[in-house]
Amino acid sequence: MKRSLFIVCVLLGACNAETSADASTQDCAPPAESLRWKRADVLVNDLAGSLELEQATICTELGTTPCREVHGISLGASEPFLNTLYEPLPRPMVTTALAIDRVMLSACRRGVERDQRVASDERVVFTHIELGAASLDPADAGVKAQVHELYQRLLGRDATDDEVAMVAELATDDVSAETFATLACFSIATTTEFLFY
Amino acid sequence: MTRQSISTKPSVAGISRRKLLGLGVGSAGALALGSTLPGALRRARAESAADARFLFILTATGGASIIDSLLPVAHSEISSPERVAALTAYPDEAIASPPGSGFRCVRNLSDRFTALPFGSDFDPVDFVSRRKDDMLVMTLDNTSVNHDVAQQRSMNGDGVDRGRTIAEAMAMTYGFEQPLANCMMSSGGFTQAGIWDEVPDEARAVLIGDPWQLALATHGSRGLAGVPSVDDVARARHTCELLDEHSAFGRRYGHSEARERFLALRGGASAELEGADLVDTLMLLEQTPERPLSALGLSPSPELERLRERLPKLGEDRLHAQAALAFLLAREGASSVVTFGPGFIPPIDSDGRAFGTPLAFDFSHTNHLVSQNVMWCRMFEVLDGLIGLLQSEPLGDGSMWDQSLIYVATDFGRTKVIPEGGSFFNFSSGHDLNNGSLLLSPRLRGNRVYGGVDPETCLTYGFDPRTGEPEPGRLMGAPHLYSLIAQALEIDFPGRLDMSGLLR
Repeated sequence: MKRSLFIVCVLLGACNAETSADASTQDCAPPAESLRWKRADVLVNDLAGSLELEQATICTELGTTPCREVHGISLGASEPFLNTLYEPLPRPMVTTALAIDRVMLSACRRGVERDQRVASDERVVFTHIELGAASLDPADAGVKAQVHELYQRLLGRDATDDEVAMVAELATDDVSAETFATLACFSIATTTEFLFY
Repeated sequence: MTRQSISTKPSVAGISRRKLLGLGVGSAGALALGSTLPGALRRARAESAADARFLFILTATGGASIIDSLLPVAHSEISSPERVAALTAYPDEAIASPPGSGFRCVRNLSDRFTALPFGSDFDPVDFVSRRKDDMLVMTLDNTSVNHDVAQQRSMNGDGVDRGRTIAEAMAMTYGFEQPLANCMMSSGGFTQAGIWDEVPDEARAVLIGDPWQLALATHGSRGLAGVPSVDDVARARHTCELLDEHSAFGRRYGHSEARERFLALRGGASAELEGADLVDTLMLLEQTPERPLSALGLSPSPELERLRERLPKLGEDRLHAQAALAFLLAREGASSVVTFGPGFIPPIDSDGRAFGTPLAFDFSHTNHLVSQNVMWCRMFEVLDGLIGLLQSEPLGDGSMWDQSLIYVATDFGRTKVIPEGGSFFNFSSGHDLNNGSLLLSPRLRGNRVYGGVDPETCLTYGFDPRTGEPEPGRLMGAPHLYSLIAQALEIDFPGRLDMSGLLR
């Protein structure tokens, strides 16, 4: 058993040099520094796939230029032409988090708009709440189901009860269902669990 | 002079927007803090006008040769017709000596170009006449003829200051509480960070791709169609923070350096930048039917008309837009150093007109004289516009210009010999270590060339940095240039060379 565990660790490339046959599973866990920033194209691809949106339309600035193009450097892309930046920046800049917010917020809004335009049985992402409602009850089963749906799509797992409760608190009396949907999507999509891998 | 280092920088007002929200302070309070910031920055700047300094670095990409602009050799100075034919020197009538000026300069020769579709309508003689008292040329020899390496060294002075760039040094000295202390719109080696690992993230360059749309990158939601209100977005951000803190992922990777760095930026400098509410101030785009700014809750910069008076191609020429943005960033107290300049991409407008050569100064490989003349005129034009703007902006008892310095950085010089078969208007040059640099500031002892040029070789020689007197046979280097900028802006560092002969 221990030998098998050691082999698995080596195959994962996660054990340090001191790993022995006595290593526990905790010793073999990947080091925290292995996290990687999800850069421009990966970010946009993941987001578009999660919300089933066209990449080119998830975010445009001033209605004309894709955000990926306007904020490419901030999002961690190279820019070999205008800035002769052949290799992307090693780490985020002060504008990175704001550019990410713009992409996420816009994409979530586009997803809501797309689902608002079609009949309820043709909706894609926001299928558990009535998008036309003036407000939602945080305790509503539909809200909980919608949070799970977003967690599954964006993070590939169900939300915990605590997470459901935190997101559901965005549904207040003065927040419409469509605004809640956008905010819930945005709050989950901007977690580091989505932004890093 | 003692200055507070940016490395001790707290977040704005000692607390970030996200932390305010986390502490239960309403978003309206946080936003109110943000909405007062630009004014506060301006006030702080005005109150400490004597301490304010601004550095603008105009990157003359590709090798701006000083003997093709402000240190030309005239044919009449050369001893033989054979050497005249072989050297990168100019007919006497192509050189002007503006009255009262310590400079000579190559005239705008665009009317004599016929082979290539480039030109400029800006007159260098006018520029020198207007700006001579605040400009100096110092000769130097670089240490690389590789573009990328040479560009880096033009920013870090060959590593004279522990490997940090002059922009990083400036941001560390004067960028305290500035959300974009060190802005970078240039390209290639000019954009590379220094190697001194004690430079804090806040002083590292923020790269800007599109000067017209930087304004949008300073806010997470303004200007996006149909999105929830700023207050609602603030609530969702707070939810995101809670989710991050409580998730298994957040706990598992709580000590990840990459994640920690991102969260620190997001909750600190990024929130401060958004709080500064620079979107409308920095917006260089105009309202058009295709670009309905007002429908998106945006408006053009209130300074747009004033900017256009000094930088008339602002709407279509990236270099003019960069200069305009550089001025606004400094004026708003958002930046203390801004680097900008043309890259290697041909600047062509929607009508197919070229504003410069396809490879900036490096198009000299194809046609030296045309490239140098067009690009130098282009540099002078944008310098003139930027200086005019700085002079028109009151600061303390004077203007912003009184506290500014512009450094025209370049890779290296160009070879001094016309290859066999070449002619004056049609020859190719290579890269050469020997050159000189242009700097402009009221803080410099201007209207003078420091060093000189040997007419028999067109090679420049150095000077005594304490007295400014020429010294044929002496070579100056990038450390001298870096030290001069630092000394003029009162930035101290171990090993700084004494350049007091060039200072007022």
